[in-house]
Order: sequence, then C-alpha cells, then structure tokens
Amino acid sequence: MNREVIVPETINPTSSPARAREDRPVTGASVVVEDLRIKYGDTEAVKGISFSIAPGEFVTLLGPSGCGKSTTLRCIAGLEPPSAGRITIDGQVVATAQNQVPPERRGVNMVFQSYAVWPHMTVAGNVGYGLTKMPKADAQARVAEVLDLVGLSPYASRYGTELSGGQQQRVALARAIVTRPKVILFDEPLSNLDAGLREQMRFELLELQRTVGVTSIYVTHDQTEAMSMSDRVVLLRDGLIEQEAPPREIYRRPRSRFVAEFVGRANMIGGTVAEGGRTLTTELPGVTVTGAEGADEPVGARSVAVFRSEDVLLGDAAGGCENRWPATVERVTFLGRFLDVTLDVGGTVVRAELRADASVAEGERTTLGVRAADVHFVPAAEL
Amino acid sequence: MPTLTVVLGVAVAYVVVRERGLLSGLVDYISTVPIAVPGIVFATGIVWLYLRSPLYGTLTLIVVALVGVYIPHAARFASAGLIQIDKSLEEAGRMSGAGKLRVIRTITFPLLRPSLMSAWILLYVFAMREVDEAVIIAGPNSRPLAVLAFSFIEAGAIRNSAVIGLLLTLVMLTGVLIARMVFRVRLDSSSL
Repeated sequence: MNREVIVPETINPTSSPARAREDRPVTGASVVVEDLRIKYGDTEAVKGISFSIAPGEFVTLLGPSGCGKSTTLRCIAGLEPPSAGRITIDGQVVATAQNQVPPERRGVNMVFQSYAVWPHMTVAGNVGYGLTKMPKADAQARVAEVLDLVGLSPYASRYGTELSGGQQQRVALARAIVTRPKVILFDEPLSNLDAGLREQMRFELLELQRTVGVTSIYVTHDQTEAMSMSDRVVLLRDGLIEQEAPPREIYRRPRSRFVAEFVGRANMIGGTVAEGGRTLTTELPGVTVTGAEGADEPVGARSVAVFRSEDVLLGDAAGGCENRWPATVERVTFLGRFLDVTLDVGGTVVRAELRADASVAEGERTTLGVRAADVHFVPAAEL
Repeated sequence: MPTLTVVLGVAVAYVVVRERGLLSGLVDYISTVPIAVPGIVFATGIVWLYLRSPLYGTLTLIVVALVGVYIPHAARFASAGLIQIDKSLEEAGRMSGAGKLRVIRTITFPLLRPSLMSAWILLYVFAMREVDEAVIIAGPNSRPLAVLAFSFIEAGAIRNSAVIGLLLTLVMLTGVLIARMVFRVRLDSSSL
C-alpha cells in the first residue's frame, strides 16, 4: 500500500498522447470493431458502432449508464454474442453474429468491476490460475514477478477475502496481466473503490499499462478516469458513438451539446450565426459570442457557443478578451482549490471557476470575459 | 443415492440458472414435475416400467426411484447456491484461459460445495426414512429399514418395529452428526 506513486509523463495534459506513445513498449494487438450490434430480446443495447484500436493503445469507452459501453466490452471479451457486425483481434475475426471464438481462446483478459477474486484460492493461486500450460517452476516465477509488479508479494499466500478492496483489485490486475494477453479489458475497475484510493489506483494502473505496453480497452462513466488515462476516448450514447477523439480534443472541441455537458463543466449560449460565421448573435441584451474558429452552421442558422467555466475571466482580467459581457455575481462558493462563481449574464446563468484568492462579492456588477480561442461552437440540435 | 441425486441436481441447476433459452426452460420444467406427483403414483409408475427388467425387486430400482423423486430438491439447493455465486467469478476463469468444464470444476464446484454438502445430508436423511415410494417398489430381498419397520407394524409386531425404528434413528443421527462435525454443514433454513 505504501508504494511510491509515480505520475507518468503521459497524463501531463501538455504532452500530446501521440508523442508519448512512441517511447513506451508495445506488446498488444490491434482490435477492430465493425458495425457492432448487440440485442437483448427486443431491446438493442448497441446499435451499430465501429472503431479500431492500434497495438499498445489505451482507449476508453465512456458514457452514461445504459449507453452500451460495458456490453460492447463484454462482446469483445466473448462473454456476449453480437447480433450483427464483426470483431477482429490481431487480424483474426473472433466474433460475428454466426460464429464466436470462445472467450478463453481470444488472447484477451479482463479486470472486472467486482474484482472477481476467487475466495477459495490464495492470491498466488488466483494469479497463477491461467498459467496451466507452462512448467510449474516457470509459472511460479511468473506469478512472483507479477505480484512484485503490483506490490502484493507479501500477500501471496493470503486468501482473496482477507484483502482490502484496493488489494483485491491489484490481484485482479495481476491475474489479468500474468497471462500476457494481447488485449486487456477493464470494466469499470475502479468504481468500487473510495475516492482517494481510486485516484492512487488510477496512477498505478496507468503506470502498469505503460510498463507492459499492452493494448487496453477501458470502460468507465467517470470522465476524470477517461481524460487522465486514455490515448483516445470513444464517447457512447444510447448505443451509438457520439464522438471519438483524444481526451484534449473531446474536452476542447466537443462535437455536440451532449459531449460538452458530459465531459467537464460547460457554459452554453445559443444564438444565430452572424456574417463571417465566427460570431453568434444572441437574444441576451448586449451579448454576441465570438469564437476563434467558425461554426459549422451557415450564416443565419442556430448554433450554440460552448466555453468552460475555468476559461471565464472577471473584472480587469477580462480586459484583453474578445468576448466581454456585463454580468452580475449571484453566488460565490469556496471549494478550497477554487471559487465556484455563478453569474447572471442578461438572464442566463454562466458559471466560472476562479482562483481561491480572487476578490468577488455576491451582488457585484462586473465584466465577464472569454477569449475567442476558448469558445467552441456545437450544433444547436437537441441535447 | 444422495450423491447421484446431488450431481444430477447440480447439472439441472447449472443449466437452469446459467444457460439461456428453450433448453433451460424445458429442463427446469421436467425436473420440477416429480414434486407434483404423489409418491405412490410415482412408485407404481416405476414398478410398471421396470416390471420385466432385471432391476425389478432390487435395491437399484429403489435408488432409481428415489433419485427421480428427490432431483427437484437437489436442484433447488444447487440453484440457491449457484445464484449466490457472482457470474463474474466464472467469467474471470474463462478470461484466464480456462474452458467451460475447467471453470465448473475449479471455480463453480468448490464455491458451491457448502450448499451441496447440506443438500447431500438432507437427501441422505430423506432417503433413509422414505416410505412412500419404497414400500411399493421394495421386494423380499430389497427392503430399506423404513419399509421393514412399516411391515412389522402392519403385522402387529410393534416391538420389532420399535427396534428397527431405533436403529434407523441411530443411523440417521450418526450421519447428521458426522456432517456437522466433519464437513461443518449447517442444516438451517439459510441453506435451503
């Protein structure tokens, strides 16, 4: 438990994932999902999704509960048959509606949300379970090596039920990497842990993945996990892909209002695209929104401007911004790391995150500023 | 006889609880039917069926009948145990490269063992004291203790019957005690 947590370089938001990937080992296989559909009785949980994953890549399937992300993962694992479409792992077709390779012969392994540590076996027994095809001495050496990697060597002869949640999750992790799978599947592995432990395990898990270099598919509904760990995020909604992009792009350039709201906190102001395509005329008095990049909609059409609450500036700081609107401070909440400020801009609510030492008072009239580079336009269509 | 019943019960329960579709429904239905048939009727059916076979009048036939009668009980025990085993425990086995049979042998069965032990003991006791079916099927050379006691009573030999009854009680008591002490089986309602 007292292992030093090394924050991997790659979660630093300034380094691009593509560059970071070059200097890590790659042992995994590619995964290609084509037009996958999964039906339970009459309801279709997955309605035709396609994506492909490069060897060694860490891809997250993100979405609210019921969006089909776990079902998709289970289908890749072979625990669920598809009703249409095709899944290819390492160039070999493993699942179509007609034929499915059994899960044990797909060269994948999985970490479950419930840990699924076998209570009637020791930690070493759990981890060594998948190593039946190699000589006993080799298997023992491999188990010892992996237990060392996850920091569980002292617990090798304990039983699963004698361990804490975090330790059980490490057993599950060790059990998944010990078989040297081509792909590791993670089904919300951290959601049963408490907040502090979850953060620590997130770093450990990522560090481990970077060390091993295995292709990873990670399912979660937690945007922080998705943002901090993935090379790429596939955001699902109602069984369809809403957006597929690296974390930074998903955050900075959401493709729809749904994505903008699901990932981070987004302020949205609707309006009509004005001449030039880069400005929205809104119904709010004195408010037009200018973005650095234009909206996709033609001039005169409806569009929605999105900007993040941490990009909102107040008072003098707003001076250099392309967008400056009169605002009234409605509520200020101290949250330790920052101030959560709710403002009224011509009758619409805008939320801002300010440094904890910023001086704002409730009821104060001020100027609100957003740089054009921080404004992004999404279609005005339904949420 | 309890062993055979438990094994069959597990098989039934596994199909019913873990598999989907028509087969599971059919197996569930067929394995529950014996509950709805009175013992006398069931036994008469068995006798008719096996009348011309060499099994007629043997202990084996009694075993066959009792296995049939008690499969529903065994299946209930097994499925109660199976439902409590999280599916992901078995799926984790598949993910580690084990086939279905290895998973059943090394994960499902060991985890199911406590419920199967209590099932075994209960069926052992049921079978020992069973009269309904046995009294019809029993032949001169194949008379369980319970049936013997019954026939003594019928003949008015109460004292002989009492001796058999006492013996029977002792045998069952020993079985239950061994189960409690050696296998640590709890025969409370939670395992039903």
